[in-house]
Amino acid sequence: MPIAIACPAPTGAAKGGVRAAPALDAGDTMEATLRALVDATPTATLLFDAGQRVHYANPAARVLARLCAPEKGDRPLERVADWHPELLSTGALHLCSLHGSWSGEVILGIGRGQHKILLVHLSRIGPERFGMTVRDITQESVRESELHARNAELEVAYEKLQGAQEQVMQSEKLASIGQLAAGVAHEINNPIGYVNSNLSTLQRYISQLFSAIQSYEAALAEGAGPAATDAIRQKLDLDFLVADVPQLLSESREGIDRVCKIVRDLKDFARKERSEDWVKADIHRGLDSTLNIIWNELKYKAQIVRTFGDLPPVECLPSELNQVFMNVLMNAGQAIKDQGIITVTTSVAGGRVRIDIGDDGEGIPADVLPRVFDPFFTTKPVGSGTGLGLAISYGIVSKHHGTIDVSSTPGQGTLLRIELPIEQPR
Amino acid sequence: MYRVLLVDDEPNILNALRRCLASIDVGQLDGEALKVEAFTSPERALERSEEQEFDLVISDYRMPGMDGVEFLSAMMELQPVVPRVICSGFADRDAIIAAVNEVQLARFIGKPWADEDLAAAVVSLLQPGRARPRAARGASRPPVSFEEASAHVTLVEQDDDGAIVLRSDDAE
Ligand SMILES: Nc1ncnc2c1ncn2[C@@H]1O[C@H](COP(=O)(O)OP(=O)(O)OP(=O)(O)O)[C@@H](O)[C@H]1O
Ligand SMILES: [Mg+2]
Repeated sequence: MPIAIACPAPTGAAKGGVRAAPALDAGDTMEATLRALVDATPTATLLFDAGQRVHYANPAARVLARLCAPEKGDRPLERVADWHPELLSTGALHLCSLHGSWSGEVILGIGRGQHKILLVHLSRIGPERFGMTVRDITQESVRESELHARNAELEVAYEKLQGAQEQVMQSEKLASIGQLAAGVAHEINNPIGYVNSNLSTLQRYISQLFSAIQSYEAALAEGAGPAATDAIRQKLDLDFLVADVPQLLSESREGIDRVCKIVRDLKDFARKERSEDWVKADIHRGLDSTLNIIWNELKYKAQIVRTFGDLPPVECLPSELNQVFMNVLMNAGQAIKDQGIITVTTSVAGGRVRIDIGDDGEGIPADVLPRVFDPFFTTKPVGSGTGLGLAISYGIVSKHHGTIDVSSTPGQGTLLRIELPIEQPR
Repeated sequence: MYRVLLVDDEPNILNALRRCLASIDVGQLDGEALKVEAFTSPERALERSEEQEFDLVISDYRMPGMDGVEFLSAMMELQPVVPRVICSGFADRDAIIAAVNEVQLARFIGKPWADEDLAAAVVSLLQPGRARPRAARGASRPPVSFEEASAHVTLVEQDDDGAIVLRSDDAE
């Protein structure tokens, strides 16, 4: 017998439940209790036979019915298909009779381009009987797919940011190298200048020597005495030449060594690193080659005092750390107006490597101090600072699981402390 | 005798410049000897310039304490007519332009330089065979001649008739 949706009110059901609580009564009390329970369940629950005729529907199903077929109002709905032709597919019913149950999501068009997403569970509860629970998950799945979309967007944005950060880092590196280029050119052109000039001189000296040899040979052939050879010596200034050649050569050697060193340091410095290039490296070597590179920026202003402790090799991306050292050292140099001292001190403290870079420059006012690591924060004139130096240094040090801290006394100087773990956490 | 003042913070440069100048044949300088004084400190060079007149000054651009333009402007106060040359590997165009404008450079010689070019520049700036202002100077400053007053004195040349001709670098 079909059951109309008009069912006992939930309040009545609750009372029935309370009344049935002793549960010691006859079987019909138990049935009433179960019925009260199903009536009170917020999930739409139907009972129907193989012919899809509905025998029972709880009050929550009424809400669902109205949702599925608003135009049908509260009229009794005798067959499942009356609720909505797509609510129960024959396939699902078939699978349920085969396996005893079936669950799945069903999407129902409810007119005006709208749709509902329902979580449907079918179970066979007798030879000709089926139970069906239906939960409206439209909101949840909208929220879920929104979340998915947001998440995907975020992932894309994150990837873009990573790319951008890499680019900014690379271009900051290029910019700082560009800044250095003039200085480096100067530093290389100086030794090349005198080596080149010395070579021309050497060429002249050699032709002088050749003519000396010829003159001596001629004098010898004529059997000339010491007075003649003395005259040749003086005329060709051989004494000066003999004294100058070794000096000229050692100065030139010095110049070539310097060029080689600068080129090597530049290579060390500017190598583009991949994230898999983590190596155990000597921090002191990085500090030295960076100091060499920027020496021409610093030497007119600052004396460098290095106090290097005993450091173990540190697992790092060396050229990225060099960039940190460069940024911090350049800042130190820029903070010194006329003449000053930059100290570079290394030590091991608490299982970490510590690099202190101090200067006795102008210092940082208290209101500026918290902002120095902010990207694009600069107190330097437009065009001379990008304000990325410390922001990027901070990023690099964090990537190394290290810390970078600044302390400063205006008018007295600034100390940048970098601490790095010796090994990266696995 | 011609006196040349060299200033560069790099002693090896000074030595190389000395050697280069030593190669100039005195015949090109009307038989006059070249006397070179070299300083690694621009301040010391200025002190020396207070007591000694020079015929040519060649300075580096980048030096500690004082850059080449600052040094040459101070030099200009002391000895307005001395031809001023900057010899530098500094590649900054703006700095070069500023130098040319501010201290009316006679020459900018890049590093590395070619010895022949430098020698030729020195010879031409010393202007041997010309009435030399320094030779005319007594203990006190002589009346300022047109050539002395003109910043271009080192850039002009007189032709055989004594007329001043403008000399451009390419024309040399
Ligand atoms: N050693 C220091 N002494 C004084 N002020 C400093 C020092 N280091 C950093 N600062 C301050 O922190 C600001 C930010 O430094 P940061 O290196 O990030 O950028 P910048 O030096 O201004 O520009 P860029 O490094 O891109 O050329 C500087 O403008 C300066 O005000
Ligand atoms: Mg900086």
